[in-house]
Amino acid sequence: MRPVYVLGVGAHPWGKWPDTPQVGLAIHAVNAALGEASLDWRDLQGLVAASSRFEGGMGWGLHANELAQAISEHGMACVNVGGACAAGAVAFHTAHMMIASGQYDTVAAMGAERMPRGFISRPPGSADDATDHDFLRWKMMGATNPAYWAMEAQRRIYEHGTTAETLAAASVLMRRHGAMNPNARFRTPSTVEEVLASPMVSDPLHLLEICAVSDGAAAVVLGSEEQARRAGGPMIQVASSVIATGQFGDPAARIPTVGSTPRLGVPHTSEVVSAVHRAWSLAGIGAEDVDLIEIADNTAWHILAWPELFGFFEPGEGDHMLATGQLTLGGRLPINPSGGFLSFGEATTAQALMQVCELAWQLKGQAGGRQVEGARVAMSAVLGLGANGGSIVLKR
Amino acid sequence: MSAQPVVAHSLSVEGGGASLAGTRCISCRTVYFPQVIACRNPVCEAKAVEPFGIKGSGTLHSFTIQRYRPPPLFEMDPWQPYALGLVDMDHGVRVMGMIDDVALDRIEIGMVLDLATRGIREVDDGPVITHVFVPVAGAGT
Repeated sequence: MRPVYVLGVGAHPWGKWPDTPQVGLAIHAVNAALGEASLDWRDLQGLVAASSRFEGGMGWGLHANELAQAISEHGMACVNVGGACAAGAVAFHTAHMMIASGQYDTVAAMGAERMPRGFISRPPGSADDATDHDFLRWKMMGATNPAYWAMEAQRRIYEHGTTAETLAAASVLMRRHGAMNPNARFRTPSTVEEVLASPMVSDPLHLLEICAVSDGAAAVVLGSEEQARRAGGPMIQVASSVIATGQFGDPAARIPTVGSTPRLGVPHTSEVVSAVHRAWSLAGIGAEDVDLIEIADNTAWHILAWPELFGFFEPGEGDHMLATGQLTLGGRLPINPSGGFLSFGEATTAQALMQVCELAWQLKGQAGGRQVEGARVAMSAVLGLGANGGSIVLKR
Repeated sequence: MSAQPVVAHSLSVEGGGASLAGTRCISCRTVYFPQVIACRNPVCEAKAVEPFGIKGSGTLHSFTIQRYRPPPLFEMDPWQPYALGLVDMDHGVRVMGMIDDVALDRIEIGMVLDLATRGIREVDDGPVITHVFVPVAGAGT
């Protein structure tokens, strides 16, 4: 394995873009990343696409090939990977391994998504099957995605006494960060009162405590040390990139399961916890070395719970950390300076790569009003359907 | 008139009690819902499984109230906001289902609930039923 560097990152702003095809969003993002890397399309030796579940493309998700045939037929290697909402991390991991192996010098990872409106429902055409959790959760009980997150939040209230105001404040924090990010979709700061006045979707979670669904695209160009020196600017190295799946006995209320086998001593959200801990290990760092983290905040509950699950804080301590400003710029662990999913809305396959864009901009000191001063180590953590976890550490 | 489960082969009513179609590992005794084709416990070597009916009562681990109507695959008619819960049943299996027969503001984590059934809509042949959890008889709701 040889060292791998981030040559450039880029994104198409998140929003609702009914007039821009998915390929158009993707090309916009890759063009921006190539611009930062001072490369042309014909210089890319490989393209890894976080393939979509929602927009078909050629052959239901061969997006890397679709981009090649749309914009540059120069024979590059195309890889299309799945992983649901963690697909971007799987794509990054694959591109990282392709460079690290020595066989490729320039590889881009890309995710682009146009999301249907409303609750994310069962994919059309899926067969009725009495052994399929996803079929049963809709047919037997109508369990939406927010219902799963709400039950985690309700349990936290029971165990730690988290208040409605604290959950709302976590959402307000994300909007405050997002207001400073031109790529975020929701850039209007909110208040605790506004969040609590928004409709209750799934108790105890209000509408403004749950991420929306958006259209967006993000891309990262990775390369060898020689390529990083050619591109110029600060050297941003991939300290580690890890993907993992869940462990037997995980107590999480995992979408879309209707039956689970929780066992004592198994980490909650084990697919992500495993990825984070191995990412620390491979990077030779610990929690105390992390200057900022981008996490998958599908809800306000995630902001409070995930740092505890990873071991940054003790269980239940997140509420106090939020209240005392430790989770924002200048605090002990700035969470989602980008504004997170709560400010972006989720564009599933692109989301983990948007996280990496933010890590890179933070380490290069290009994050504007949301800049974490002097950031040298930045990491991401993401979760995808099917018990997919991913974590990436970048260092300057 | 006979009750039919909303998903065939998922649920039965025998001797007055509801039973969910689950699976048990012959070797490590792990109980699964819904049915599985193999045991996924990594320390279990045999992996062979047998049908197992999940029934009786359990403890409420957590719950929520769904305030918005789910996508149309859920055919509750008429529709109104309802509770969903995660219930820890015997043999270490945690099952999700609707919570019924209790006011939405009286549901508490830790309460003991029985597995039962209820109709979610009527067809010509009778009610279409799904599994629910209800307070144990005489618990006073």
